[in-house]
Amino acid sequence: MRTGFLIGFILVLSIFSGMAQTRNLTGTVSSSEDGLPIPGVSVSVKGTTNGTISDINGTYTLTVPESAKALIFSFVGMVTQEVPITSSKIDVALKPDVIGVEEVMVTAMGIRREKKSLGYSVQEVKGEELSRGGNPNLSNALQGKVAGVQVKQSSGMPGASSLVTVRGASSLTGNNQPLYVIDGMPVENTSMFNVDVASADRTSRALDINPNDIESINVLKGAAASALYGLRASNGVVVITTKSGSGLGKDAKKYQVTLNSSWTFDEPTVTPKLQSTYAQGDRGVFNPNSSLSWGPKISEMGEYTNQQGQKEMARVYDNVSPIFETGLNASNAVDLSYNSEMGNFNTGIAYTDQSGIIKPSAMDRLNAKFNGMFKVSSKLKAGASANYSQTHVVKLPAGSNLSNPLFTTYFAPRTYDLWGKPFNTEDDPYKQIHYRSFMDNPRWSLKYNDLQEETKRVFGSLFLDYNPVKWMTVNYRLGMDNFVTDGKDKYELGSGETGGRSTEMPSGGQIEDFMYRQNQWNSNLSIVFNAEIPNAVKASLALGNEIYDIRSRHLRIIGSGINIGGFGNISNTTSQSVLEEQYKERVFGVYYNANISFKDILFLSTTGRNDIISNMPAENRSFFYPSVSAGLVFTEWNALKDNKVLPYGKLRASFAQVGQAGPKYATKTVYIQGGSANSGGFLDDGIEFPFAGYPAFTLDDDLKSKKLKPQNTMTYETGVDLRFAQNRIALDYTLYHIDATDQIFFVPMAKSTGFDRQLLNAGKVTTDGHEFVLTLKPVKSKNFDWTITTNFSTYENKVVSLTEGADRIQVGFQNFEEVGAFAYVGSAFPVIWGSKFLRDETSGKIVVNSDADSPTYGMPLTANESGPIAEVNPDFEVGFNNSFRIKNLTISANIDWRQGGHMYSGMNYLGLYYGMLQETEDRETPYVLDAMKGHMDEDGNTVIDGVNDIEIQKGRTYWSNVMSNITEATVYETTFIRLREVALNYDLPKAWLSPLNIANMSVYAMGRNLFMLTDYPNFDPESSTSTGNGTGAFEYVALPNTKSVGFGVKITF
Amino acid sequence: MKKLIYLIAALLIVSCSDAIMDEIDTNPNEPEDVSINLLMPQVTTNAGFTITANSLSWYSSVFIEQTCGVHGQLMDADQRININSQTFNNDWTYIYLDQLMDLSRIIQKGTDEGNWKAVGIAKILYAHTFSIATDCFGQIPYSQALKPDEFPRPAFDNQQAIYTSLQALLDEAMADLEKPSAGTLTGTDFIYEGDAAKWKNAAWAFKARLYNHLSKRDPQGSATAALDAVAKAFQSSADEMKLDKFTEVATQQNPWFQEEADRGHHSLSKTMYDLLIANNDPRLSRWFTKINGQYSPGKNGENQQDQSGSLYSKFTPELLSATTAVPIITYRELKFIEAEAYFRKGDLEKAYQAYQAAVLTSLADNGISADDQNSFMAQGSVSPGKDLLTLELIMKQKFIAMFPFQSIETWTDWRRTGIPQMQNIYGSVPRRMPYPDDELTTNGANIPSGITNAKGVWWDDGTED
Repeated sequence: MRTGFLIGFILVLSIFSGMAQTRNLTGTVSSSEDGLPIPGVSVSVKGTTNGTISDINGTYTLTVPESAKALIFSFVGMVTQEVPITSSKIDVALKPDVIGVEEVMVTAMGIRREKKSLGYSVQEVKGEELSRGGNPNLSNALQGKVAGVQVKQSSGMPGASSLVTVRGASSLTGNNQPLYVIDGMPVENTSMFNVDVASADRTSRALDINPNDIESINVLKGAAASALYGLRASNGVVVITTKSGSGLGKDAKKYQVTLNSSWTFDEPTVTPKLQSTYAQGDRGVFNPNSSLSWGPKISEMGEYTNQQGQKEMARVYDNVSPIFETGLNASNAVDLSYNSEMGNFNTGIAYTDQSGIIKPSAMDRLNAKFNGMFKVSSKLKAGASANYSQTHVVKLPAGSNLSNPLFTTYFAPRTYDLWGKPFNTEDDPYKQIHYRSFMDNPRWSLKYNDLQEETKRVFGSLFLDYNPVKWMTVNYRLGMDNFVTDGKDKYELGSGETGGRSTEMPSGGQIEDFMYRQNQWNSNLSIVFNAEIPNAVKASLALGNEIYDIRSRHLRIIGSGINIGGFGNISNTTSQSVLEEQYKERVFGVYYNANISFKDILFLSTTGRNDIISNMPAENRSFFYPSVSAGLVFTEWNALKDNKVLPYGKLRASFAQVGQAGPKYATKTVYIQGGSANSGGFLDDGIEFPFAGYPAFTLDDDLKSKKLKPQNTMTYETGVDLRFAQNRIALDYTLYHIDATDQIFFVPMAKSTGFDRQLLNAGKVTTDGHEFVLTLKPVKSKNFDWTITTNFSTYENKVVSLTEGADRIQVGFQNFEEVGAFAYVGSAFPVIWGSKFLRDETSGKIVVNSDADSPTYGMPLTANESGPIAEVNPDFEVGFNNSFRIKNLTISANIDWRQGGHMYSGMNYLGLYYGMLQETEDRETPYVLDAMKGHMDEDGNTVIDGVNDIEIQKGRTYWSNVMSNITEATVYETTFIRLREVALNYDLPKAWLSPLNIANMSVYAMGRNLFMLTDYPNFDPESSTSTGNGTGAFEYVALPNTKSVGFGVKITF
Repeated sequence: MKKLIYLIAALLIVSCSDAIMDEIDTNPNEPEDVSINLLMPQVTTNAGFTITANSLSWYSSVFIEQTCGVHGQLMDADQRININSQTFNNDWTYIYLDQLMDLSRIIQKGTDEGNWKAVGIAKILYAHTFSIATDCFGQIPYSQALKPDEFPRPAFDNQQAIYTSLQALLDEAMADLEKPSAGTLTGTDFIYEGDAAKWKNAAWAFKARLYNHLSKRDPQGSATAALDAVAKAFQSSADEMKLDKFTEVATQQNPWFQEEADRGHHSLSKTMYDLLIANNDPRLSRWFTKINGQYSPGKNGENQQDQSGSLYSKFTPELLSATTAVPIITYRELKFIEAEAYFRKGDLEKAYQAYQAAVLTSLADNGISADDQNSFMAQGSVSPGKDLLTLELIMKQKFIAMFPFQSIETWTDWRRTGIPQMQNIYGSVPRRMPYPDDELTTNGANIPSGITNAKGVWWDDGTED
């Protein structure tokens, strides 16, 4: 069906080609700055693809039809000029472009506005900036390219989820991710189901988008920019425009075929540094079954009896590097663009095949797309955007999962020959051989556990654009976003995660078959009225209606106990439980947007939107959100106009209010499926019903309320855009303040009330931030260009209040008893919370145990109560983007600098606990900790006994008993400076290519994450185990980020 | 064209009417109300699972050295590490959210519906749950608990008052069980299949246990009251209260078995080993595995980590399998209570009879052959005669007889009597569990201050803090 439409479309467009009477035009193009001629300027007849290019002397000749009315002159870095054809000789002086000012930006609801008219901050990223690093994940490719946009990846695994935030998180437990809008259609970008620290990660759906399809991305950061989207806009909007073939006309060509192939090779950025002195065992005694490496010195062991009863000489094995292989990412894409007076389109197909740094983790993705517009008549345009993606991800068990292969790779004792010894017995492949019980041998886990998911997705929209009279446009867009994720997580018979290693014969095993389906419809009608008093006032008014409806169904069949090893059918399990969740929501919104401008000096804009929301109580269902913004281009005042120092300057200010609705089905307390100790706690399974032949229900722990209303986010923003030094310096500065009040969150209740939490509107989080975008063009000439763009952003958010009686709530790492990510009144959001060193109040120093009888004599004491340890958010983030062009060669480099911020390191905690990290290598040197010494009296008060003078050794007791008991000991600063991307692009000279009928051909090479400076030990601080709003606060033996090198070729016919 | 516009406008407006929006907002996943028969399997399971035989029992077990903690949190517990406000959050959930809230719903619904049998059962389980909670934590919310609208931050009641209330509640429960009851209740009661008479026996058993807990506060009164209750409670092990529904399926197994399979935190302790080997106890071989032909106990606090069971003796399938029943309160416990109470009253004759019956019941309950029972009982160290009977002997044998599942009760016994002698070098046994962080953060103002793990609960040291 779609193919037929496509062919028809092409045919219709191809038929159009008419020629009439012609005449010749000629002239010279020069620069208004210095009067020198400009070669290479594109000259075309307005409204056609007919055109030419100025020669080395800046002169051009062009044959045009009699009917031609005007010529368009365009050149990179110059303002495009339209000149009416009044004679046969037309000379033009082009003015240099004021950086970014004349650009037309796609704003909310697809409304195109000149950047200079905006009263708020918007930042654009071009498609090539996103794709040149060869990153197949769109969200990750955004990192560092937009001031205020922060991307946190969960791991370096292909298809791993990412958390994207714009201007930080302000919702305590709700959604903090921006809305993604592709070609006018809001689409899903988040992970569809929650995961905890022991589960496999679930892919974020932004992965389905092919970065190569993107023409540009506009990030609407503040609420004033995004308010038209209503409820969904409180975290900013990422407006994506895909390639559509428009803009092709300048080259005077009707069609263009582009082939693009790239290959990148990945390696881990950081692996832990391990000790190589001590053997497996505990308290200095070798034990071939221990998980600990507190055994004897390997050098003093000599021959010993290993786990299999064989005699073996003690030596050190490298167990870590064999697990890593070079990851490969191959991307191939072909697309066709077409443009004529009748319309334009782009269609293409792309395939990305990525294998991870640990096999079998992998991702492959097929994308097919069409985006086009057809001019039915001079008044009516019709268009369609259609995207199909098929994304297949193979994952690895992660986090505290007992099948996580990295866990016992990193922490395998140095004396254990993980890669030389068999990982299972000869007679039973499901009976594992491993240095420790319960956990899977990593090689076995990689071979037998199998976690896969595939998502098939169709999204897109159809639109009609009706322009009956010059002052009015009617636009209707109907969009949909449908996807189905189908997956199977198989933990094989005998797998540690399912308790399969605890019995004499392999047991356990689990198969989860799951299906998640989501359908979204979106209907959007808008009418735009325009009015103008020439050279004085311009005004526009848009009225619109948006309805969206999202339905989802998540079906899981969890089969426990695999009967026949190796047979992965759900019927091959002893018992099955079925879980189903369905969700529905609908939002009906009406909106307006009124703009008025005076002489290009003052721009005023206001928007309003009223939403009616299904998942709020009936009496609190309808909400109105306003915004106002103003821009003042003060350099247009006569006194300042055309001054040389500051050719352009604008002040802007805005205020907006938007909301965020709570979770679905939030108004009635319910009963849920029964179960005993079946989540959290010590047991993997507990009791699940039906049990003993009977089903059971239990009252839900959540107390619901009918008094809910949407969360309210108020944003105040002001800023200035300045252009200096003949436009070689551009500075955009934004200052903002956000008040997020009436937060909808589960307020923890005293459990003695019989409920765990109550869903309420409460609490306030404020955010204050600054953003700079500084663009420098130090050199701009025919053969050499240099552009530096610096994105700087910093923000501080603060939990002002929660609710009466609660000074903190946990927002991440729910299943970890010792440590959590919390919202804590008076602190930044989130903070890492856990046990702390006992400190002497006067000196601030830590206190060590002065009780000479205690095994922990001279070692740090733990404070009585847990408390906030450190902020997660960085102090600031800077992205330096450098781009050089030397003739045909373009070199670009991005450097990211993150300063401050903290993360709890599960990797370091475990590595120290097990005695595996290099820090535990020195177990004999006496140390005296810089501390006070003291003890606890009978009433639990600290008594300081003086300055510490107690010598200790940093051995098993120190690391495994004392330091591992103090969360604070393994919280580290996440500061890093990294060379994010380097890309080289060489355009082959046209002279070589024209005989081959090739318009352009470029070869390119890129590197990603090639270099990093950080003090964070043993891990890449950019990855963190994904747990929603706690993301960024923790890592727990995740796959490290990858560094890559690659190359590619792009050919345009 | 105009008609089309009207049609579209009408469609748009209808699409967001309250009726349609309400329909969309109807929860298709979870019900708003369920019957008593759907709640009863949950609460009767909890009674023998999360309340009696979960982490409270595992920590108690290593505290009093019935087992040795050989890995993870329980090895930490033996080294007195991480016994803090983070440790018992889950248990507070099991007690208040999972068990007591559902029980209070059954009491409410049963009262409304005239299902007095369900009300009686629920009140007994309610008393059972609160008694475990207060024995572990001391003062806890009782009178204001489980009423979220009225008391969002419930006050903490004194343990003495709670004990009085629980006795009264058990009496109420027995009265309810006498009333004619509407509704049927058989298979969904996993403990006694709706047998009111057996539930009444169980209520008397709990009354006996709770009276006996007051041995330090009122030695004589508590003994008299306990003996009176014992007489009306179980007459044999067949009457005992237990959860015996476990299967081999992973999600239906005995909780201790699951803990061993998932975590492997326990092993034979030296304290237990010393008690068993002293009398050549046949339960040693019945209960524990050998390592290289030898029983290998871990000494609490000084042992090495041994999750795999390669260093220290673990449990035999006879002691612990997937389907082993979890006792909640037993006939043998009552016989030990009887022995202890008579001993307190100075009636050595009856104390000795009850003691011998208690030990024999334990041996029989554990499948020890008649010959082995006889030769064990024949030893002078086991049967010294009534005049040489000591509290130490009674409590040591009770320590063994209550193994492994009833460690919370054994911890209570130890706190009351100090028997047997502990061996852990890492300092004294905690005398209570620290209040969990969840309650501290939400109800901190009401939590008694100045409490440390070393301070006894009211029946232990006579003070509430």
